[in-house]
Amino acid sequence: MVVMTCSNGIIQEFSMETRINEPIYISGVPTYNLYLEKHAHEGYLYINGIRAKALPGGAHYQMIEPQLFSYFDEICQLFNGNTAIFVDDESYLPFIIRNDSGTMLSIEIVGTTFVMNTKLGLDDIRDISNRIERIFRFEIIPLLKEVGLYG
Amino acid sequence: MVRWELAEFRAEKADKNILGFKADILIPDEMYNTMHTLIKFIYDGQKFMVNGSELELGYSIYEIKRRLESLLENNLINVLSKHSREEEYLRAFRLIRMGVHPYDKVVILDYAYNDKFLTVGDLLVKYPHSIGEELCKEPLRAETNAVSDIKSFYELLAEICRSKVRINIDLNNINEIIEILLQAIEV
Repeated sequence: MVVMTCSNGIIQEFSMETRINEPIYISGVPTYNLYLEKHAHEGYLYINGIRAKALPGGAHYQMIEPQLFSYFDEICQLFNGNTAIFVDDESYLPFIIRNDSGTMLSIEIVGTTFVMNTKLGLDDIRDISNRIERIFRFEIIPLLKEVGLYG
Repeated sequence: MVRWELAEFRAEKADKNILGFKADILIPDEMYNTMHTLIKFIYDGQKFMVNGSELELGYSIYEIKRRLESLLENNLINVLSKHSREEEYLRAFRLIRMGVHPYDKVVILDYAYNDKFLTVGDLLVKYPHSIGEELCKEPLRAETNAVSDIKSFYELLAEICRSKVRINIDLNNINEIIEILLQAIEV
């Protein structure tokens, strides 16, 4: 699951889990499961709670920070005001979108049943979800792969 | 033809391909707008019943059956069938009227194939009986147990949007069936 919050078209914070084939060393421990984060009011990437540039190979991670955050900004620019977005990390499709006026989209899984409620029409939802999916598939994921933080 | 409102309509094909349906029709009282007479039609594959009494339909029965078969060949039911691993034992279509705007109605459409279902709710059916461009432009609810992940759920949403014409054909079929039945009982 990817969780992100936006404010007026700018990414504030996000968290994202990834799994990698080639481990990176965190406190000397080879690590395959990563938890990438950006905190609010900070322009840095954190990996498993540690600032990315402090890790071995950190210069590479630091180099992608501005580009990575600008890709998240592209998603945020789809919305006005404060917005929280929850994205499925297999399909990169959103399943919850909340803004200041309430829940715009909610897809809940209750047992084996998917329940969708929305304040938007399906055309708008598909438009938003297609754009989010494309930004992840063609921008965010390839960038993370370049520096070994994905796949 | 008398003014009527549909409360619920259900068509199904169950065990051994037995076609059935039931419809609850409300006939508003001419003097008191808030009062209605309820007419219950039931077909169990052999007999048509209206409010518990048998109804002779003559050749109209073939027209009704043809339209019921058409309702059950809906593309959304066929999509559900792709998610069921069991041999077919049930396909069903249900329409529930939820509320009435001055001339338009908010309805719920319910599709089923075996134990898989899809409910599409809060659709605005415009007077007299059609879904307009609003189908995928206005908020709606959807519920299903047919898919296993978010991606498949989104594919199902796309199929709903492609179904506007088909939903209108179904609404027309329901309308025609009710007109035939009401004529048969000379309401």
